[in-house]
Amino acid sequence: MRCFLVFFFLILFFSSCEKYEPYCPEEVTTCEDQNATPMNFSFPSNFPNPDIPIFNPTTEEGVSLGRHLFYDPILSSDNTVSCASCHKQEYAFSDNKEFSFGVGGAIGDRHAPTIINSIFSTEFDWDGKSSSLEDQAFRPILNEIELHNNNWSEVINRLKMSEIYPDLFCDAFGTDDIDSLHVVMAIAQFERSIISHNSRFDQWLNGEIMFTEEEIDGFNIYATERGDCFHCHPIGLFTDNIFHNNGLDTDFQDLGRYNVTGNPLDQGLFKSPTLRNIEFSAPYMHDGRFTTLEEVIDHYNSGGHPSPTVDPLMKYVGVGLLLSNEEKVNLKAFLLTLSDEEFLNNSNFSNPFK
Amino acid sequence: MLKNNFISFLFIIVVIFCCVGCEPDSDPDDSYSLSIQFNHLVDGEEIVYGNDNIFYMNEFGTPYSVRRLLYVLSDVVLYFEDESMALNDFIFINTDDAETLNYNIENLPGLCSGISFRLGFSSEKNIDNEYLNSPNNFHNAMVWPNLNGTNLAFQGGYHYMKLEGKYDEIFYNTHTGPTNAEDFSIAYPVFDFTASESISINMNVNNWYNEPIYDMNLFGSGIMDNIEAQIILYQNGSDIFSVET
Ligand code: HEC
Ligand code: HEC
Repeated sequence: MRCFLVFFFLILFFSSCEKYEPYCPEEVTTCEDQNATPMNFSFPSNFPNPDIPIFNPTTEEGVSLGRHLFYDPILSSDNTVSCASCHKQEYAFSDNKEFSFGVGGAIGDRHAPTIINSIFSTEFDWDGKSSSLEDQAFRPILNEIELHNNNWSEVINRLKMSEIYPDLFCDAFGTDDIDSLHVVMAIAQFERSIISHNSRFDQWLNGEIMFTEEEIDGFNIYATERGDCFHCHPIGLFTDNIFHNNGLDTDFQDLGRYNVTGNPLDQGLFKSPTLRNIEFSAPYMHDGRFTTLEEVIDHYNSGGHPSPTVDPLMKYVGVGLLLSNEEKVNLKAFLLTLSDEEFLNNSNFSNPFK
Repeated sequence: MLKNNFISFLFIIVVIFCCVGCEPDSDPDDSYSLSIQFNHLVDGEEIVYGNDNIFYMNEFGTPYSVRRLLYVLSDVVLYFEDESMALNDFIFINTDDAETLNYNIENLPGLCSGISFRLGFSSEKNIDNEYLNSPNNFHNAMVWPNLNGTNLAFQGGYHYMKLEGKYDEIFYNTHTGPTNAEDFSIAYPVFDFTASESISINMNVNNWYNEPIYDMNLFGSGIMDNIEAQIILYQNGSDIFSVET
């Protein structure tokens, strides 16, 4: 199957060459000669190998194009909203609003998730309805409460008419014949470059810094049966990339994963979010219901609400973890060690138009 | 233009041939395979998964349901008429992932008539972060935390089994693994069967709790750092599997 896909894209590539060659003006031929520079990633040893589709290798030029597109309201129907309107670097690529505003002030019913270390995930959105970042990026562009375009040709026309995009596409993909596939490919490349692995926790693991006693105690609560956060938010990526019901409700407003699978056992399940940079991405949960980490910890400490699909890993539903005030403070102290200032201020991820 | 089209057409034909070439040629005549199906039973009945679907009764008399079951089999050896063959890969079974409930092994030297395996990993193979890139999200589903020297019970590696569900009104997490870095993996002797290309490996879940008796109320919901619970489960583990053709 994979093999088939490669050839499929090869065919596309070659057939587009042939079709346009006779009419191509000079500079387009030089465009096709462009070779984008592969991007080199380095990860800590407790990270898996990244999951990059073979048809869309990550290149410096592709990432740069994707970054422009991500920050550019040109992708929205009235030039007012960009991806970055709802996924802001200062909030770890989430939003500080419970529900973000799209074109015309429209609001949806889910909180914008963070975009961190997505290169290691294979399912996107709270319910996992998108199976790649390319797939995912298609959605907001036409979604009526996000970028609100009626169709792709409007978007492509705006990009073709712009001063900068024909050149950026040429650098990234060796073609200035802009199409929807290359738009989402570039955005996905930028998103794959958004990586966080230099938190105080990582530095502690590497023996570079010491933890306070509170932080060590917090880590012990987090990563043992005491607080049992690690089963769903394992050390490393701090997400298991699996769907769970963490006991938020007895009656579900949003059926979550069930909307994708139709399996009754999936009612009220959502993807465990990463806890990296959790300090910056309030409010929390798929509907942004909690505004502070204290509220989140109180939720888990209370045991959560019973329902037929609540996860058995929420072991003490109805009883609670019974953490003391001091233990709750220490657990929070540990969560704050997952903040990565370098990531938050990384100029490679910031608005290129500023 | 016509010429261009003809060239594309030729190209596509070539590509199609290449694609077909990508599948490894298999010669059905002199190659055998083994397909293993994993079944999970309580006293002969296939388990119905869910917190509240069906409550089973264990030997102690505690009603319990099963929401999910995950485990790993390593050191798998297949036996043939006059030779044996060790598998390089371990097998990961997850009842939430239907893809893992069948395992196929191709290109065998003969009809298989026996199998041996280990539940979990031996200490030498239970290495922290060793299986980060194994398929079916194995690492995230089974990792055993490493507390960086701050807690004896958690020194990294992987869970051997996660059996989870409800008992009374609360939850049990029967998680086995290298508590205190002790090797609680269970190596089984050879299961013999009439030579076959397909077998089923059955786990009788109730046998985890009967001999010696395991009391969920006594050990509570989480037992990863409970060495007594781990020992009792280790002792129970010897008779949980059966193999059928
Ligand atoms: C109006 C606000 C808004 C805009 C604009 C927006 N998003 Fe989102 N984004 C969301 C919300 C809300 C979700 C969660 C959707 C769901 O779960 O159904 C989401 C989910 C995502 C995810 C999934 C993250 C994960 O790990 O599951 C990615 C990636 C993403 N958006 C990228 C983008 C890109 C790229 C754009 C621009 C093309 C964009 N978003 C525009 C609000 C927005
Ligand atoms: C059963 C699995 C599970 C366990 C155990 C668990 N979580 Fe979660 N966690 C989730 C899921 C799933 C979500 C998202 C739920 C939603 O939005 O509906 C979540 C969300 C969160 C969030 C909000 C993240 C965000 O970006 O909005 C925080 C913070 C959090 N968990 C911390 C913890 C802590 C601390 C513990 C241990 C006390 C813990 N979790 C235990 C599954 C779990």
